[in-house]
Amino acid sequence: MFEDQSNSLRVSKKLEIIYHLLNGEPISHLIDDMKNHEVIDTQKFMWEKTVEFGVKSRGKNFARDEVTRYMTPSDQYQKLKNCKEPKYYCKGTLCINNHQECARNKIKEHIDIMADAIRQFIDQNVEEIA
Amino acid sequence: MRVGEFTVISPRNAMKDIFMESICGHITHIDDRISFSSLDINKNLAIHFYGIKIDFKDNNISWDLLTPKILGHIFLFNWEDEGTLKTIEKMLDHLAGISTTPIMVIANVNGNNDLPMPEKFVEPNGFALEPTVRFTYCQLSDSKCTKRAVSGIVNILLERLP
Repeated sequence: MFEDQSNSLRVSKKLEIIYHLLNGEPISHLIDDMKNHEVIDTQKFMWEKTVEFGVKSRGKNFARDEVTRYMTPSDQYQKLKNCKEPKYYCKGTLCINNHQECARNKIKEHIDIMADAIRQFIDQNVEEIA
Repeated sequence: MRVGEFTVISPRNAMKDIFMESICGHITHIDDRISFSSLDINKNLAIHFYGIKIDFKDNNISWDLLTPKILGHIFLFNWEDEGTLKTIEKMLDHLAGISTTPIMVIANVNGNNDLPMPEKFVEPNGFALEPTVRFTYCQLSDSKCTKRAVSGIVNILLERLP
């Protein structure tokens, strides 16, 4: 009865991500057991939530650069990994099928950075309330 | 009188019963896992809540037959007990997968200490996991908070009206 009927990230996974994130636990390891398309969906979900928390926390003062500046730029990441693929190829959506481990490690880094950003947005609001 | 029907799904009887009682002020136990309560909104409209206790291997409820009549599903779990979250996960995925009926997932918290996140982030209709699946938190015995959560799921329904 309870078979997975969807190709996208299940809502329970999203809830689990939020649960661990809000409990201050690491979340990037949650993608280890995921299929490639779920990993991509997780990255997308995390980015959407990061923007949502950022906008609710900072309003118009939120800039995506506050988060992305902590992410290793694609060209640097490719150099670090001695990657011979073209620059535009270093995107999770493209590379995860051919260089799974490398792409997953990059996505993990991004997920951890986004999780830290979300926690900071929340902490700032907790301090304001206090 | 028109009636709107909601399910209240939880891994423990006490959780759904406290939630339903805090909203309706009364509760009727149908059997050891199902309870019922109703709230009259006005003389023309009432809301019925069907409380259902589930476990990990639950597969004997005819959800396919039930869901077309249900306006929304309310899932409960204890924020401080990850096991209760795990118990609702499969049912949550199943109901989110078979229809677009709104779902509100409510974490039961103890008092105002260590809330999952400031209220600002769950207002007005819950934190969106998906357009029709929202997350919020409540102390289940706090009727003001539980009624706000129910208002949230009603608002999701209203948002969908053309």
